[in-house]
Amino acid sequence: MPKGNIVFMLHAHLPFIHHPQYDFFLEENWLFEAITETYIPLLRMFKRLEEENKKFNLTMSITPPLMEMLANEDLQQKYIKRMKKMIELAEKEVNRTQKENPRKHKMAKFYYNDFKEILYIFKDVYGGNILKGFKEYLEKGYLDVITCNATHGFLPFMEQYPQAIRAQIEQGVKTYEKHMGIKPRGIWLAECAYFPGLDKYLAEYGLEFFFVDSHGFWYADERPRYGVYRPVVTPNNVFVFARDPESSEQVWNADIGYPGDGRYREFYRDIGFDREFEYIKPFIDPSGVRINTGIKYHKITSKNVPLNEKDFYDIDEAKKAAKQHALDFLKKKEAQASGLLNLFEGLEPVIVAPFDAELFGHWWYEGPIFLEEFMRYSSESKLIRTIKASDIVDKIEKVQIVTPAASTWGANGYNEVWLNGTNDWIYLHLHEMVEKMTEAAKKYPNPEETPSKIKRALNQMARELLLAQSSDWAFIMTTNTSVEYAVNRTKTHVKRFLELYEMVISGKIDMRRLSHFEETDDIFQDIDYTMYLKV
Amino acid sequence: MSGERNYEKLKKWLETDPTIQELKSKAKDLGLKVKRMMKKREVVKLFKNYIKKLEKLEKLQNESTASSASSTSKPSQERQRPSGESTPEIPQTYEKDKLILMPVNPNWIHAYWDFSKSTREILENFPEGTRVFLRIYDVTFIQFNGNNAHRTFEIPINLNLQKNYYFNVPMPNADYLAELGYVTKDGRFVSLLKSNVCRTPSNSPSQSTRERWMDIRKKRKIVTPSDGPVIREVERIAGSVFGFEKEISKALSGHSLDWQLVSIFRSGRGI
Repeated sequence: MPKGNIVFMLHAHLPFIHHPQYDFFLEENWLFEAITETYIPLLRMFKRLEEENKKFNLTMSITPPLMEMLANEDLQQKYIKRMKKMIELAEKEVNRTQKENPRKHKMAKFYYNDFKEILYIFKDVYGGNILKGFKEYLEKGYLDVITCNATHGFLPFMEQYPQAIRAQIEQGVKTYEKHMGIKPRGIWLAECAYFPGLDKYLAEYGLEFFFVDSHGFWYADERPRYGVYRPVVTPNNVFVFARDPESSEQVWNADIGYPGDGRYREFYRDIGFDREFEYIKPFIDPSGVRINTGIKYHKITSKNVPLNEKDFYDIDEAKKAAKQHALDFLKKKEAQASGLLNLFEGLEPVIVAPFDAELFGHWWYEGPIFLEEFMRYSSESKLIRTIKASDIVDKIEKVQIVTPAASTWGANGYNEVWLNGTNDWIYLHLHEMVEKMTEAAKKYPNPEETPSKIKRALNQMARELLLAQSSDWAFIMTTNTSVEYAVNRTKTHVKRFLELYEMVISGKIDMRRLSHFEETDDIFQDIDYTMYLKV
Repeated sequence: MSGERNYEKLKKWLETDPTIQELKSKAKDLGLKVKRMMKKREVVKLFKNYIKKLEKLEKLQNESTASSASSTSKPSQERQRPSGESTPEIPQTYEKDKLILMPVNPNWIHAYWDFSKSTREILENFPEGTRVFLRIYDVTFIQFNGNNAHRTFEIPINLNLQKNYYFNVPMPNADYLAELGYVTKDGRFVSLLKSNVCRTPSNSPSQSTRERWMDIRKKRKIVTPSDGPVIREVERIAGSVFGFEKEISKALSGHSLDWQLVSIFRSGRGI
């Protein structure tokens, strides 16, 4: 019986944030929160489904900066330290809530046990490197891990510099291989940003497929006969999947999406902000800035209820809600798939549902439960099946040849999130850095003959350039949150790059400065500056 | 301190009554914003303010070194970001001739420019009242030779105030090229910088009436006339340009969740 195919695609990404000179750095916590709330819950879900013998299929992009952070021993140690603190805090909460409220007390005990289990999985099961977990399920065939361009750079704004695009892709492929042990078959383009011609570069690096937003297909050079519900292939022989607008809408929509249900956990009531200062001080930023602890006792209740009047949260009630929503989503997917199967006269539709992975767990605390329940339901469905993108590529017999239209998954579908009055100033620098990088690399075209000091400086220049290119900085400037950090990071990488450039051009390498930069921006140990010669 | 010597020198030099040309060129070296229309008196004032600023700065620096010398330990709560370097200063120009076009969306293009020293000199020596323009050419499917564009648009630019520009173009899925230049007394446009070609994204379905297919097992290409797609998509109409700014303020007011904010910018919406 033909069925509808559901490709769940989770894009796991965080910008590279590592400040080795600090014991505690606020923005490093972004990673720690994602490990606790998203990445480990996903691994737990894989294990449970596997033990139940339930079929599940998931495609995930784990971006190179995220892989590098997860494999970084210093960050691993910091995470362990942070989790130990959180367990200590949860234990205090267990005692304290006993007198406060039974529902709070129930959750405190839940957090205490959950944090201990998470730390156990992190430290004892995977020895600090949870990439091993994702690799395990990749090897078992449940999971398809794909790569992303090196630092999540916004590729359409590099169009006039082929070497910059190649470097982003080459380093993305290389980093994936280093951590996963095999070559990546697919790529998630940062911000889903595609422009006609980009597929040529992907083909050069042996990448077989990528994803675009819906209008990438709608406005393609020739109209795809099956709309967004079948992949196409570009003239350069790279397969393309397009986002199903319905699936995203059902989950994501700010007004009607599942995460807004009143039974789910309220993100903004965290004891990091709610408890009195003296009590919470040892568990927040040492400067006294309050931060999230992950211990939250309230539910959304209703969107119209102000934060201070939220009702108490109950994990069992929330799990029930997640299960209901998973069933609702299944019914919607089944109905959609049957309709499409009819329309396509028996040809199987491919429904692609891409999401930021961190939505599941971090923003939407019960998201991993929803996903797990959906996988459970769909493994029994007669109308749909979950499938990995690479399986579709392997199975497909006939495919339409199409060049998708330039598109992104940003607001309004194009580039304005990454190019507007808040962030346009960065591109003068980013472009100039590519030119200077290329110029400097051309002076030393043979790495074997390049003096080692110069080579190190050139490689560090490449790191600074790649880090400056992260689309996250432009994104943060637009969203107007943590702007200061994003501006600082951009300027810092520009400054370090220019300093290194002067060293390379003059031939006078300041080894103290160079070592400092290498220790501070310690991403991509295997980087090779000669990728910038591929003009 | 070298700063002290510098402003002392500058003071003495001002007393020698330099010419307006000398004043202007010195001001540019120092990165002071001189406008072409400025009178000598105004430029001198600019210098005096600059000197005052330097004096103040030095006073402040002296005070802060004094106070840090008196205290034995650094304040422990100091948080320099990121990684121990306070906001770094980066160049305003790379002294290269550059005019870069970037697509914003189907109807908007962003242009930024930078000048080499020699071009900057030309610009600075323009006779009063010379008008500078950005010219936009629609060069879709043509090799541009300077006067064969489908359409040409012109925008006056004030180089003293503008380093970049957002302009509205009529055609999605079209190639645009720009030149930055000035108009001579006899009305000729003289180009100083020429940009890259920039293609605006498409925002409507293709008019093509064919389909190309690949039979993967037989490794054969098939070209057939198209009956149109079997599925009719419901397209979203994008809001006004930068309309999402309204959505942010909406999302930020009240108690909206961060994921909602993220969903506005990414993945949920597309267009």
